[in-house]
This record gives sequence, structure tokens and C-alpha cells, in this order.
Amino acid sequence: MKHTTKRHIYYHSSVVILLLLGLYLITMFSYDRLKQFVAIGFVAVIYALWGILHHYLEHTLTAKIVIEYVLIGSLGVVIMFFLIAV
Amino acid sequence: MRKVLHHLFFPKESNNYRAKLLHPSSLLVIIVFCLFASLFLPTFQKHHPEILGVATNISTEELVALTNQKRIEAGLAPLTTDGQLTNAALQKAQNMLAKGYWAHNGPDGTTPWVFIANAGYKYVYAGENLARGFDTSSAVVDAWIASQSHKENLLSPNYTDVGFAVLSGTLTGDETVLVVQMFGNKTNQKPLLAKNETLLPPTPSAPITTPVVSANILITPSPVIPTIVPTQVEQNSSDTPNTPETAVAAVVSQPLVNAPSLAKNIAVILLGLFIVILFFDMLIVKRNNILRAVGHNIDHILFLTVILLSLLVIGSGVIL
Repeated sequence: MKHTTKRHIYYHSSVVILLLLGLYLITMFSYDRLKQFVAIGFVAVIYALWGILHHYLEHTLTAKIVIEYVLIGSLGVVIMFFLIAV
Repeated sequence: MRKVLHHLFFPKESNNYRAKLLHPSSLLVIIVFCLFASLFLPTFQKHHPEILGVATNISTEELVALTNQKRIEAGLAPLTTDGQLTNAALQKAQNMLAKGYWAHNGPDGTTPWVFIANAGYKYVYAGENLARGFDTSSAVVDAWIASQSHKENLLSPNYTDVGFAVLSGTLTGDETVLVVQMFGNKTNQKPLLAKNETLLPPTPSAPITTPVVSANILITPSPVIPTIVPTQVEQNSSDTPNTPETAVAAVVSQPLVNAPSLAKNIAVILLGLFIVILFFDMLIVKRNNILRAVGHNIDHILFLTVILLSLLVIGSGVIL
């Protein structure tokens, strides 16, 4: 139990660090649309892979969970694409 | 109605203890809707710019004032608006719209210096900053100041003159407002302004013998431009005014709906809505000890929050 909690803390801390790094990248390219979009895509891919990997290590990975992470990641990318396109 | 909203937003038996909007099918519908809106709204904007367009209020007068304000704050002498540089900037903007490119150099290799030379400005130092898609003059200058290379150009002691062009048109398929800023110096003196805004005696400097090229700064050595073969810039007599300082003084447009604001508001509402739904979904499930095989809501909340924060901090325009 203790071991699982510790693993959760490591996992969530690493997600926060990765997402903050992504936010830094996105703001760094705030006036370059292409680089901005690439950075958002990168953050979405990392987030989805990290989430899937975590569920895999927890032995809770199912096809539905993979789809959920892919869809939430895609939603973030598509919303940014919408903002850039309009 | 209440039941439907509850079904959409909160976990309960009818939605298998997962808010319906978080189901893969609902997410897919929203993604497809966003993609459709990304294609439809720009098309509508193209055909009805008076209804859905880009609200713009950019004037050369304001751009000059803001540029000089930044220079004075940095202890530098303000720049003087030069008619020839203004004409060069206007020719560059017209050339970009006519040939459909967004770059310092044209597709045929025409450099900004060709426009400056064709305008009759004999420079020792010259530079160029570009911007597009901004709605106000202060947003343009702030974006340049936020970029190190553009800031170096704007706050360079090498320049004494400036010329601006603000032009609206279609560039690479998008209705946009282009801003071209051209800097120059006909002598090799670098006037400096002390913090108390008094002019210091000119500091003589040795002319640079090697051209320095960077992202947006190109300094060509003194005294003339022998290596440049001036390419005649496409000129339209009706578009080329005699007094360029006042020719493209401002671009002001006020459509019924400002497209960038609309897009930003929709995106913020959508992301905010999902963050709130995920939060309550997580809370209710935890409180009721419901077991289900789904992803971690906290992950999704963190990811969507990063997207929301990015959306709030990124600028509306692009600089080059």
C-alpha cells in the first residue's frame, strides 16, 4: 500500500514537471504559431504516453483507457488548433 | 431538463457512473465539432468579414510613439520617421501581399535592403521587424519587445530613422494586417540618450566590415550597397503615394464579431467546462467509493489546465 502511494506520488510529480516543461515551451514560442502548435502536440503525446504507461505499470490498462487518454490529448490539441485557425 | 444535465455533467447510474460528456463517444463528437468549426469559421470570415472579422486598430503614429517610448526608457535617442524608409516598408508590405510570402526575403531572394535602396535611402545600418495578425499597436510593440532578437533591433543604438507600413490584405490564405518596421542610419554615428533624456555627444564607431545576419537583423557594412543588384519592386502608381508618411497611417476595422476573441472565449469555456466536469466526477466517485476502470481524472485536469494556461498567455499575432 505504502509502495503504491509512493509510486503514485512519483508519477503525479513527474506528470506535473513534464506539463510545466510543456507550458514553458508553449509560452517560449508564444509568437510563432507553428512552433507553438508543435509544442502543444508534443505535450499531448507525452501526457497520453505517460498516462498509458502508468496504467500499464499498475496493471489497470484497458483499451478504453488508452482511447480516453488519446481523446483527451486530441481534445487539447484540437482546441488549440481551433484557436490558431480562427 | 435537469435529468439531462445531470446525465451529461455528473456520474450516476444512467451514465454508468461517468459524466456522459467524458465518455469516448462524447469526446469524439466534441473533437469533430471543433475541427469542423476550425474549417467553417475561417471560410465564413472570408465571405463575411463585416460580420466575423479581425478587429484592428493599428496606426503608424502610435507605433512610432511606442517604439520611441521603449527607446527612451532604455536610455536611447528616439527615432525619426523617415519618408524613404516608410516608402520602403510600404513597398515591402505590398510585395509580401502580392507574392504571398511571410519572410524577410522574398521567394525570388529579394532582401529588405533592396526596398530600402529602391526608396533612395543610402544606409550604413539597416534592419527590419515584421508582424502580422495583431489587433493593436501596443500588442505589436510588446511582442517585439518580448522577443530578444526583435528587441535588439528596436533598441539598437545603430539606428536613427524608422519607417512603418500597416497594410491589410490576404496573406497565405488568411485575412491579416501586416506591419513592416524598417530601421536605418545614413551615418555611422550612434546617438545615445542618457537616462535623463539629454543627448550625449555622438560616439564615433568604426564601420562594421562584415555583414552580420541574424533572424531579423541584417546589418550591411558602410558605406553603400554595391553587392545588391536592385530589383525593381512591383509598384502600383495608385497604391504608391507621394507622401508615404501618411499613406498607410492606420488600419482600423470593427466587425460585428471579433473572430480571435470569439475563438478564445469558446476555447476557454470548453476547457473550463471539462476541467469542472472532471473535478466533480472525481469528487463524487471518491465520496461514494465507486469502482470503475477509467483514466485518472487528475491527469486530465492537469493536462487541460496547461492547455488553458497556454491559451491565456499566448499572443494573438505572429512576429518575424
